[in-house]
Parts: sequence; C-alpha cells; structure tokens
Amino acid sequence: MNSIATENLDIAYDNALIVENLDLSIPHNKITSIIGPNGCGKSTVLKAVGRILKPKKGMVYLNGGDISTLPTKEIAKKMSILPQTPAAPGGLTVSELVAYGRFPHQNGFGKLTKEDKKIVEWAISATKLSDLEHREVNTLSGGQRQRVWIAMALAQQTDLILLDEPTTYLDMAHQLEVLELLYSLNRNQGCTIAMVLHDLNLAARFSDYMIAIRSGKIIKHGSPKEVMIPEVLKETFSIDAEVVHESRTGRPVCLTYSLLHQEDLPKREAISL
Amino acid sequence: MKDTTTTGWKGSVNFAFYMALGFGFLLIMSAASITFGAADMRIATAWEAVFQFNPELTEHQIIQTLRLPRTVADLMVGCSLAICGAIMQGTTRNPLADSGLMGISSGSTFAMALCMAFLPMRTYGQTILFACIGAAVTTAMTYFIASMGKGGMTPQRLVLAGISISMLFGAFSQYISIKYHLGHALAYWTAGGTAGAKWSELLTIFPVFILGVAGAVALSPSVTVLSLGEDVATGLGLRTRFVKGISTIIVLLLTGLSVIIVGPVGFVGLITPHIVRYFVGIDYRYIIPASGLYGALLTVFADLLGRLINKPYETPIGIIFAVIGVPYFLYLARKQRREFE
Amino acid sequence: MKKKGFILLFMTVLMVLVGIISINSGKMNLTPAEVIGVILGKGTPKQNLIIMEFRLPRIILAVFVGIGMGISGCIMQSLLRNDMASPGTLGISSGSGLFVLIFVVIFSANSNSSAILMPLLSFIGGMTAAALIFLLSYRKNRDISPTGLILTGVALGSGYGALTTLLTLKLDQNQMEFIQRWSAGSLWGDDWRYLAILVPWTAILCAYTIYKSHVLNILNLGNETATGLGTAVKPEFMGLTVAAVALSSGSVSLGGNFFFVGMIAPHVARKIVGSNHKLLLAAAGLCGAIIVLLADTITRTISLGTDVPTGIVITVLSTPYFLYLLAKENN
Repeated sequence: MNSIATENLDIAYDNALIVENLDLSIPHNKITSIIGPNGCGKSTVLKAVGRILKPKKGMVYLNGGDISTLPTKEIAKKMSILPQTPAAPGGLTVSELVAYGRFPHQNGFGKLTKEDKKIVEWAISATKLSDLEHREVNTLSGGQRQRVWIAMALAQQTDLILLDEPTTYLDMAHQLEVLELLYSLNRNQGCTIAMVLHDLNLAARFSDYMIAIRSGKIIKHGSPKEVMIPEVLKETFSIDAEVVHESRTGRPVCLTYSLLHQEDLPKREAISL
Repeated sequence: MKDTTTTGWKGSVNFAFYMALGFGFLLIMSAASITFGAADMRIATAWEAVFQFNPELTEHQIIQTLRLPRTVADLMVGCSLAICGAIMQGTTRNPLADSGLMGISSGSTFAMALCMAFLPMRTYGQTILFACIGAAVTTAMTYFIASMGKGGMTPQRLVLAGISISMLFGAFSQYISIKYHLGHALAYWTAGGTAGAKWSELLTIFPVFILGVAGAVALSPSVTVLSLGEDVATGLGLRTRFVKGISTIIVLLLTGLSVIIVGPVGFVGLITPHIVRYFVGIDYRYIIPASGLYGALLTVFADLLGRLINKPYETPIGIIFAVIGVPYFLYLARKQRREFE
Repeated sequence: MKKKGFILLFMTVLMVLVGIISINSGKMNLTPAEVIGVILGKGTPKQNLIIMEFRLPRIILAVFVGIGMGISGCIMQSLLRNDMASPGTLGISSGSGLFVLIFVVIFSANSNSSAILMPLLSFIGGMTAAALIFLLSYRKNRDISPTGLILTGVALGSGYGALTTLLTLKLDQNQMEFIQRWSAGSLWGDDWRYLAILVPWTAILCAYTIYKSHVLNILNLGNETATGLGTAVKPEFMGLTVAAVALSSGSVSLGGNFFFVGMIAPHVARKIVGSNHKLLLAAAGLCGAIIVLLADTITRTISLGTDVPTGIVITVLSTPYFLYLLAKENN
C-alpha cells in the first residue's frame, strides 16, 4: 500500500520543466529516502507531493485519494511537512512553536484544548525537548532546532511526515540525533517517513526504501541494497563509486569515489536496471 | 548590450558628436520656448525681440521680460541639476542619486521658507547663501543616517533616508508656511516653476552657476576615477576625501541656486545622467558636460510642455518631471535590485 | 498571557484618559464635571455645542482613524514580514488620496452623498495602489529586499502625490486649501454623518482581522510551513490584504494621510506585547489611537501659533523614529 503515489507528474518552475512524467510511490509504514545530485528535482518532487507546489500536469494521490480535491486542512491532518530552512519568528518558545502543530485540528481562535496540550507535551518529550520547553527557539543549537520543528510535525499527529533535507547544516552528531529520532518514530509509532537526503550513507543506513533521481527522472528505486550499487551511483551522480557492506548495520556504504573520465560519463537517459 | 566603454579617440568623437547634436537641439528648443507659450507668436517676432528689441511692442516686452529670462533660468537650472546628479551618481556609485530625492532640496526649501518669513528684506545674495546652508544641513543628515548600521550606505538606504529627511523638513516648511501665511507663494514655488524669473536675480546667480559648472567639469576626471570604487581610486593615488569634499560643495552650490530659482525639482539629476551615459559611455569627463547640456535641454522642453499642455494654465516643471521621473525611478530601482542580488 | 491582557487593559484606559484630556482642552477649557454634565444633557447650549458638535466627534474620529491605521499597518508588516511596511510607505494611502481628490474635483466635498462615497473611492484607490506595488515587486520564489519594497512604495507614493498636486492646480482656493490640509493629515471628517460610516466600517473590519489573528500567527512561520499546517495561504493572504487596505482607506478618507502612524503603532505595540497577533492587533490599534489623539490634542492646545494640521506634528515626531529604524536595519 502506498502513502503517496504520483502519476505522470510534470512540475515546472517559471516555465522550466524540472520533472516530467514522473511515476513515484512512497510505501506505507516505511522510511523512504530520495537521493540525487544538485538540481535533480528531488526537493521539487517533495514539494509537489506535499502540495506546496502545484504540478503542471499529472496526479498526486494521498492514501489513494486525489490530493487536489482534498481541502488543505484535511491534508494537514494526514501529512506533515518540514521545509528546507524553516525560520521561527523571534521570541517564540519551543512549546509555542510545537503548539502550532495542532492548527489543522483547531478552529477559529486557535485555543488549545486539554487534549491538544497533552499531545503537545507528548511531542516535546518524544523529541527529548522537555528541558528546553520554555527556551526561545532561536537560541537553540541547529540540531535542537531541527528537533523542535520535527516535534511540531509530530504534534500534527499525522501518519506521514515529509522532510526536505532535515540534516543539512547539522554536524555529524546532530545528524544522527535527528535520523535516529525519525527511525524510532517509524518503528515505534508507525509513522511513514519520506525525506530528501544529501548524504548517501545516512540514507542507506536508515531507509527501508530509496529512490534515486537525476534530471527529474527516477534512475532506480528499491531497497538500499538494490539502489546503492556502483552502476546506479554512476548513472545518478556521475561518480565512480566503491560500495561495501559495513559490519555495524549490515547496510551498504559508499566507501570512496572518484570523478568519471569524459568517456565514461553516462548518457542522459534513464536506463532500466 | 551596447558597449559603454567608449574610450580613446573614438570616445572623443562620439562625445563631440553628441555635444554638437545637443547644442543644435538646445538652440531649437530655446527658440521654441521663447516663441511659444500662453500667447502665441511668430518666430520672426521672437527673433526680432531678441536681436532688434523694440520696447514699444508688447510682444517684444513679453519676450524680453518673461520668456527670455524664463528660458535662461530653465537652462541654468537644468544644467545645474543634471550635473549635480551626475556628480552624485559618480561619487557615491549610486545610480539612484539625485538632489531632489536625497533630501538636499528640502533643506534649501526650508531655508527659503525661513527667509520668506523672517528676512523679507534680504538680498538675493543672502538668499543663495541660506539656501546652500539649508542644503548642506540636510545633506549631512542624510549621509550620516544612511551610513549608520550594518551594510553601510546602500543606494536604497540613501534614498530612503533622503526621502524621510525631505518629509521632515517638508513638514517644518509647511508649518512655517502656515504660521506665517506664506500660503500660495511657497506652495507654487514648491511645485517648481520658473515663471517669476527676473533678470536681476539671474545675473546675481550667474557667477555662482559658472563657478559650479566650471568646477564640475574640472573635477570630472577625478570623478571618473572615484566611480571605479574608493579603494581602487586610493590605490590609483587619488585624494578621495578632497575630491569628495569639493564635489559636495559644488553639488550644494548648484542645487542651492536651482532651488532658489525654480524651487525643488527632482528627477532631472536622476534621469539625465542615465540617458547620457547610454550615448557617451561611462567616462565622467564626458558624462558631466553632456549631462549639463542635455539637462538644460530637457528642462527647457519640460517647461515648454508645461506651458502648452493645459493652456492657459501652467503645469509646473516639478510635476512634469515627477510624472516622467517616478516610473523611470521605479524601473531603475528594479534593475538595481536585480543586480544586487 | 494574563499579564499581557492587563497591558491591553492599561492601554485602553490610557486612551480613554487622553480622550478625556482632549475633550477638556482646546480654545475653551472645561472641567471634567462640566463635561459629564453635558453628556448627561444638563450643560449650557454653548457647552453642548462645543462638546457634542466639535470635540466629541473629533475625538471619536481620531480614535477610529488611529485604530484603522494601526491595525492596517500591523497586518501589512506581518504579511510582508517587513518592519517598515505600512499604508504610507507602500504608497497605498497616497493612492487612496488620489482617488479622494478626483472625487473632490468632480463633486464638492460636502454634499451628503460623499459620506459613503469617499471611503469607497478611497478604498478603490488603495486597492489599485496595492495591486500596482504588488505587480512591481512580486517575483516568484525570491524574496524582495525589505528596503527595496519600501523604496518602490515610496516612489509610487510620490508619483501619486505628483498627480495629486497636478490635479490640485485645477481647484479653486477653498478646495486647494482643503486638499493641502488633507494631505498633511487633518481630521476633517469630524462630523456625526461621516462617523456613522467610519465607525461601523472600521469596527467590522477589526472584528474580521482579530478573528484571523491565529492565521496571522501561522503565516508568520513562513508560507511553506503554513501550507504544511493546512492553511490556504493564498486566499487568507488576499483576504487580510483587502482588510488592511480597507481599514487604511477608511481612515485616510476622513482623516487624511497620516503617513507614519501605520508604521509606528505596530512597532510600539510589538515592543509592549510581543508578536502574538491575538494581542498585537488590538495593541497596534490602541497605539494608533493614542498617537493620533495625542497629536491632535497637542495641536489644539499648545499654541503653535496657528491651526496646524495634525499630520505635521505626527511627521515631525515620527520621522526620527523611521530614520532610526532605517539606520539599524541589518541588511
């Protein structure tokens, strides 16, 4: 069963077609990572799937329903999004920002019910932010701030969470913090996670399912073992990669890579493997 | 895109051509300005009025006492303001610079208001002095505020600071105007008009005008070097502070005298250098004189237009320039932003 | 939150106090006792005249003009995420003014029909100006620099101003003076007929805006986040913009062009109650009311020697603050 499925999706920015005829699916209850080189369209795809961008052509299905026909608040009850560089206005505390996650479930004035408050507290403790509840968001470290936004997405109580590059700009420890949180959300709470990731190895380590994109087209999709192979990496990133399976997690890891010579560069179309 | 780096002898030829062209237009335009107006006359009459003046004929009178001085005033003002704009754009490297927009003329206006209210018996020379002092005060304030804070003096900041100072001093002027019943006099003058130009006043101003223009032309090579950037200019051995100081004085003089004659007219200094730059290139040795010439031309033209479009009412040149200038300013500001990002 | 509620209460009280002082002051001073007497219907005819025909309507006008400008400026600053945005700096109030002037030129400014027509025309002018600045500044997927937006707005405003001046030249002496005073900001519409229109106009729009205060909070998190939380960003943005323009248009049509009130009131309000719109909107409105009321009281009492339009006082007091903001802008 798929949380998200797209059909013949065309997405354009200012008349430049970024993605063409994309059929993509995000499986239910799994962690999916979308990888690809700069400008391949992965963020664009995520935004279109998250209805932030309107596609030029084609359909996006959320849990089987056409997303363009659903009222936006209803969508927000089923799917939450963490955009790339979220900015919190000054003076906002952690608990206040997390509380905004209840918005799709509220009406009118935005007053928090008892139930709402309980959920907010749960979200804060699930992201281990209880000590920082009353701190201002802009005074926290990068990793902590990212956790606050995830807590807000959690407070939305959705089955599906989309994240656009949640680990960029974070140092190694903070990257792991965030990903391990997402992992436990998936395993313990059954959230479906779909994220755009820059780091191949982290993607391979934490995902159940990977999609490699280049120039708006899917090069390969499948389990990390199926996607993290030299041929796919060559096709997607134009690199000559060496892939091993590391002992701690059993997952594939791109150990090292070098640039391809001119002659070895792949042709521009997707090859089916 | 047109190559704007016309240097060397090619540039000189280009420049000479446009100057000659400009002079030609100027003569024609001036003739037209003398001939046409609320009372139409034939060109022959106008010619005779200038060269074979006959005090008996009313038409000759009109030309000699009204139109001719008015046209000369337009020439001086247009030339001055355009040169001011060119100097400011060169020294601050801000394509949006203009003495109207940067609060300079509001200082002169306020000084004028004070003069009208408190010193009705002043000489014309004193008026000039006060106008220039007023201009100096507001300019200093504008520059000071625009350069405070992070990021320094961006073009946008300079203009915004200038506009606010203009509003502040405008409010002061309005207050003086209302309190001392300067009423219509100040209002009309604020809109910008040369209608009341008198020979005696023009004669008093003339030396200042010549001084300013000559100074500007003499300074133009230095302005070119400065327009490459302060650090570069210093590296090339230019005494940047000295040049900036002198150019500021020239700007204040020229703006001051323009404000006295016409009132605060904006946008001439903004538009003219840009137009001229398109034709003669980026060297200020050419831009400054050419701006002077074409500024004069534009102003005479605008004044003529103002007299013709709504006969027999006059539309002040300030308004005409504002109506042309604002869209052009917006266009420039937009282009500027794109380059900044 | 409770503490801030008290602050709002305090501000309301302050406003009422200033209002009372205002009622008492002017060319003829009255004691509070006399004022109460008039309100209870027991004053002398002369006192009645002063209070009921002159001062009370003027004060109510000042309050509602201030509220309108303050809340309008607050909405604009939040929607555009720009500290210096306001009906004045975006050229919107000048656009309103131009249309009002066109009205004055074509009809006279005192006929009975003008009570509702003026705010309406003012609104159309304001919307036109808003559309124009939007067209000129909007670029997809890119943020406009804060000063860039204001620069465009001020330039447009001065363009409308030039056109307005052009039109004023066609007026006779009386009309011209009226327009001059109007453009400096003078509370000319202090007449119960006009108030009968302005008060409901402003009140309804305020109610709508305050109802949307939570939406404003969410929009502040960024358009993408707001969409993710289930806000229909475009319609809400449009609705709030229209409300902001309508609020400022009402104030401008009867009060004149108080250039800086719409910018300063939200600032002061933000410093006092913070960024939560549930409090901020009301605070901005109250601040606006207090500013206009104070300025008006000053012009009517302190003998500046003549009948100075209120707007001049406000400009003189607020330009330094604007310059201070400009100087400390970190971009």
